[in-house]
Amino acid sequence: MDFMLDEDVQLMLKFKTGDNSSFEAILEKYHSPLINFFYRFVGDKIEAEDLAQEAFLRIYRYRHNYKPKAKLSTWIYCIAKNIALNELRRRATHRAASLEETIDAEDSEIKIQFADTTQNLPSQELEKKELENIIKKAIDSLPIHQKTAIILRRFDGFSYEEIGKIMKCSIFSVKSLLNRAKENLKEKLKPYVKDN
Amino acid sequence: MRCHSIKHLLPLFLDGQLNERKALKLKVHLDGCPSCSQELNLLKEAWDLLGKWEPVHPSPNFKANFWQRVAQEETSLERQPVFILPRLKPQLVPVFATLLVIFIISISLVNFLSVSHIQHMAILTKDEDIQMLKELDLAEDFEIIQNITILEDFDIINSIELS
Repeated sequence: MDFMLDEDVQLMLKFKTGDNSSFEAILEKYHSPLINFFYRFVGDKIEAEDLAQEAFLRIYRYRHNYKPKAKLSTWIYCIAKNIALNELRRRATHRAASLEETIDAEDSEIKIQFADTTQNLPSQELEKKELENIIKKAIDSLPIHQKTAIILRRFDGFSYEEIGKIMKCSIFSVKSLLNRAKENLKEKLKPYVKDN
Repeated sequence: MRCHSIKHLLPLFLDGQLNERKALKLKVHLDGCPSCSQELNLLKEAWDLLGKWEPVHPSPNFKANFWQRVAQEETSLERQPVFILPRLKPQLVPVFATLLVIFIISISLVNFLSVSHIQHMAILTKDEDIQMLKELDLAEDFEIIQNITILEDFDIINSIELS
């Protein structure tokens, strides 16, 4: 029952009994990490903020159902992970539908235009942006669960045990997911590692 | 330890997830194996490279926007009409609608069958009535016969008086 000593768990329990200032404290502490968690998934700040708002709304709405079973961060990231995975699945479905539409409208010159965010940037800034895009693409190419595990470990610093709780799988599975993710990333980033 | 099993353990070693005994064995192997050492370096550098993806700073109005969304949601909840039925999850609505249609069809079918039965009974009852009427005719005939006997008696009495 170590998690009962968790300061955030106590805040959430106070919020459950109607203390809104406790929720303010939770929002203050977690809004930046959550925005960045979603940002690693979707690669866009505005969309990441929108998803983070959805996560906080769920925490706010379901406060009465909250029962402390682990650290509060585990519960919050479990909610966030579900939202992120749903969003990725929704995008995959949407992309598949768009591809079908493109095939149907073969003659109507429909082309996807990506915004060039690297235009008019100083060379150092440009290099940085390019490297970020390479990392984004490498992470994005990972299977969904490897991607989740690597984000939680590398960017949010969760332990293997905590990742297991968030992803609802065993530590053995977490080890296996992270091993494969690291191997895949090493292969994808090999050319850029040598350059660096 | 062979290189194949060492390479499998490298990501865990890098993450400090190996116990002391295994970690020591691995270090001994790495000292004498340039291929595995190079593999470890590549893994480490790729891991470090991920850190170059810098975090974003939240928009200054993020929290204000959140509270606005909460207020909007609470207002819309207050405006929602109160239903007698409990609120259904959206994915349960088609199931509920199907059950309702099946229920209505069942009720209609039961009603239809019971009406048909009554009509059928009515037809049967008519036949029985006819049968009964026939039987009543017989009864009347019997009574007539009886009456005839009485009349005969009456005639006999009359004839006695006349004589």
